Amino acid sequence: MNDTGEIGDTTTAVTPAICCLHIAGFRIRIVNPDENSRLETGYLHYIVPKSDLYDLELTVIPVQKLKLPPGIPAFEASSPGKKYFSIYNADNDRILLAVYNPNPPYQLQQVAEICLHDPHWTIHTQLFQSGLYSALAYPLGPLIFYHLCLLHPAIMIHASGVGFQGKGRLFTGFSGTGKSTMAELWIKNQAFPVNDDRILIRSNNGRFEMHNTPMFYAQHPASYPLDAVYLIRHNAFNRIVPLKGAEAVSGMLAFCIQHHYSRRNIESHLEFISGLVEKVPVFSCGFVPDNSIVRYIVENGV
Amino acid sequence: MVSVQQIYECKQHLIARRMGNEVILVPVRSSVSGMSRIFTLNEVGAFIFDEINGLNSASDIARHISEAFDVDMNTAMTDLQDFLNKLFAFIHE
Repeated sequence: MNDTGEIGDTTTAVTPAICCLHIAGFRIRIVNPDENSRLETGYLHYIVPKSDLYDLELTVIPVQKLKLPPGIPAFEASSPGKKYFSIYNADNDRILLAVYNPNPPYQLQQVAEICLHDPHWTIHTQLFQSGLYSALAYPLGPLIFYHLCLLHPAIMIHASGVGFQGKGRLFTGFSGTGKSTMAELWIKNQAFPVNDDRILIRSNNGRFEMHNTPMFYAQHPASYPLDAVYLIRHNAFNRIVPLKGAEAVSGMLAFCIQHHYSRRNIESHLEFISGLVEKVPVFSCGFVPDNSIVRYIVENGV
Repeated sequence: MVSVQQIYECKQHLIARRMGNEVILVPVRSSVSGMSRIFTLNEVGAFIFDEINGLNSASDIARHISEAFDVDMNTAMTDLQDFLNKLFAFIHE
């Protein structure tokens, strides 16, 4: 959406009434009332042929005038002068997610009903004057993926991920620590790129896989097995140190996309990461942002 | 000074997961502020955390620390108060 509250140029994919997406191995079925639904560019390559099989079904209800859920939100994601989303009924299995347009005046753009024991959710979405609507308009899309992870052994993390010579490596850290830089260095060495900013990790029969998810730009779906995690920071020289136990869990959890408004969410994240660090080596990684880190990790890491 | 009772009341807002001799603490939060902060307790901290159960007084806990880790009571009390202060600060950041 643009800042006039109408669907903007980033929304280009015209979708049928029943639209199916395949994202990170999840089959998502979107049921629209008509063919006035639009998806943002980032979803373009995730659209798959219609199917009755799904991991999540989203029923879309366009509304002329959205209303906030009643009551006081249990959680609010906001910064001074800006609102992102609010959570209502946080302790129930059925929560309400009120999501705002990321541009001023931050109008309410969706209210999603999310059920954490049932893969049938509803999205009430703002109907525009043009008669069009965009149910997964940012930031609801990633929030849907986040909550879908709560129904499965999965988690989302701020990270870059690449596959190289049969090994999948994930690089995570605070903003500015070099996740994108690291990914670029590996890609220059012919690595397969999963994503340079956000990764969804899934557990599949004890093996862990990393996946990309729709971003603001068009990209094809990408996945790779996960063989090692590196907690990165810039350093004067290349050095990796293996991490175990609480240090590995807390180090990795700090960079996961977390909405700690409920005990359930936190316990789910802890359970998943605890299981992951038992199977996947985790390293602290100080690196020099040049090609030497690629050689260093190949020779000294996993 | 932060009291044992204050920390006990805060425990309901913390998720604790034991990993070996250590404990990871993650706070339940109502906003994004401090969302990525996680507290890890070492063996002594994990011991103290378990002792804060609404029944043990500060003296009780210090005595238990003294016995478990073979330190004198003064050291145990100092360690306990230091722990309470740091954990309180973490929870209320």
